[in-house]
Amino acid sequence: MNNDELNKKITKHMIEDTDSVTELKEETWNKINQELFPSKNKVKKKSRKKPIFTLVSAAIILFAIVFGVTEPGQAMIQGLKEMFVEEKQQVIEIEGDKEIRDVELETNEELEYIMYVDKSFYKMTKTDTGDRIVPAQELEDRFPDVSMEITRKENVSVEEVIEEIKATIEADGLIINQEEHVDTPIEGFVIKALGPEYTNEHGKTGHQWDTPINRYYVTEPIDNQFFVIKQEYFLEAAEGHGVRLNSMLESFEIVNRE
Amino acid sequence: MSEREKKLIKKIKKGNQFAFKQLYEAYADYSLRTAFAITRNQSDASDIVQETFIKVYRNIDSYDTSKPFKPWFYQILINETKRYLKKSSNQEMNVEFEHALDYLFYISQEEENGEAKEDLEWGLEQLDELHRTVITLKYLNGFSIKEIAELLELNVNTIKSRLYKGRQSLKKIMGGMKHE
Repeated sequence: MNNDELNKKITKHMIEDTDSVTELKEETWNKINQELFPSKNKVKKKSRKKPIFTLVSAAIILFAIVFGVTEPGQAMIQGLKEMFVEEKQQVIEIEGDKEIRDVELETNEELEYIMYVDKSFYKMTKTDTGDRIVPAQELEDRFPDVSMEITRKENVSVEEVIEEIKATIEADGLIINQEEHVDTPIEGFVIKALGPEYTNEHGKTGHQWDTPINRYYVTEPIDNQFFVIKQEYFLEAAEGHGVRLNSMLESFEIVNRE
Repeated sequence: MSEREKKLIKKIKKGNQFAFKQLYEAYADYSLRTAFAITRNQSDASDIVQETFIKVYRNIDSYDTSKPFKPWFYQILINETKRYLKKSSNQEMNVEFEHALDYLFYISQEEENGEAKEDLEWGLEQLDELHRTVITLKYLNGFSIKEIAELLELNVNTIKSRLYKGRQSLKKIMGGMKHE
């Protein structure tokens, strides 16, 4: 028997010898699930006041039985909120100092994405086309806008959308200074533009503290769909809002529930 | 690490429980087999795998994605297994490695080939925790000697010598020597 044969023989034996324990796979998962995600597994108390709940639950169970819905199909029924932890901590580096921030889950069932938002600084509002994150405390009028808008694009190519973005930037009087594929905070294409230089009241020419910055991220398309995330902030806030917006965007995730 | 696995880990880091279930599906079988091969107890194996995945989920942020995931995962699994073995009374079932090898050699001369499988099983069961772990990681999980040494934080030569002795004895048990 040569070495290869012996190796194969030992491996074969070890696999056969340990076959029976794999039957504990599901039982082991159930214990992990209970321990890590208890809120998902809470037994709902029976309530006479809300018979509709029981009916809806029964309908869901019946649907699952009839159509054979199991994992991963169960995720469709679960809803996004149940797939992710509600709160977590995120480390963020602002001007060289590390901060630990508490962030909360925000979901958009229709657009099928999630993101964790630092609610001590920002709030999320719905728009006609998606969601908009703005500072929780409104900024004074003297400050340029700060926001992050998330929209989904369908049945249009990434190239066309990129051209549209560039036309918008030009129409807004901004000048593109970055255009490239990036891996962080998300995988996709980034286009960043700054407002033009000008001479302020002290005679200083160049970019000023309030020079607007627009940064667009275009995600990679999946099934003819992709997202455009537009961030607005200004030069002085680049190390503040600029970093915080990107830090939240890092948690952005399109949920493929198929 | 495959691109798919990279993306999965990235999603888990973002808190995606569905991705975590997918990781479980990919690693559960061999984790259970490994824990069982070392502890020889199915219930302990299930508990070890449970604790391992809980630790993986809670500590995923400390995992450096520039390094391969499998050794990181198995290091947690092996540490959990060691912890369990220390806790349980299984330790007393182990005999000295050298004695086990002597016995393996003895029965190799006594038994016929048809009974070799049972002998191998017995032989493996008699090995102490370290040697059973080394043999399991090598033959069940396919780790290289260098990877096993890193995983167990041991010298490469120690692993080599233990594997060599183990292989020689197993070879005799399985009736191979007489055909060479």
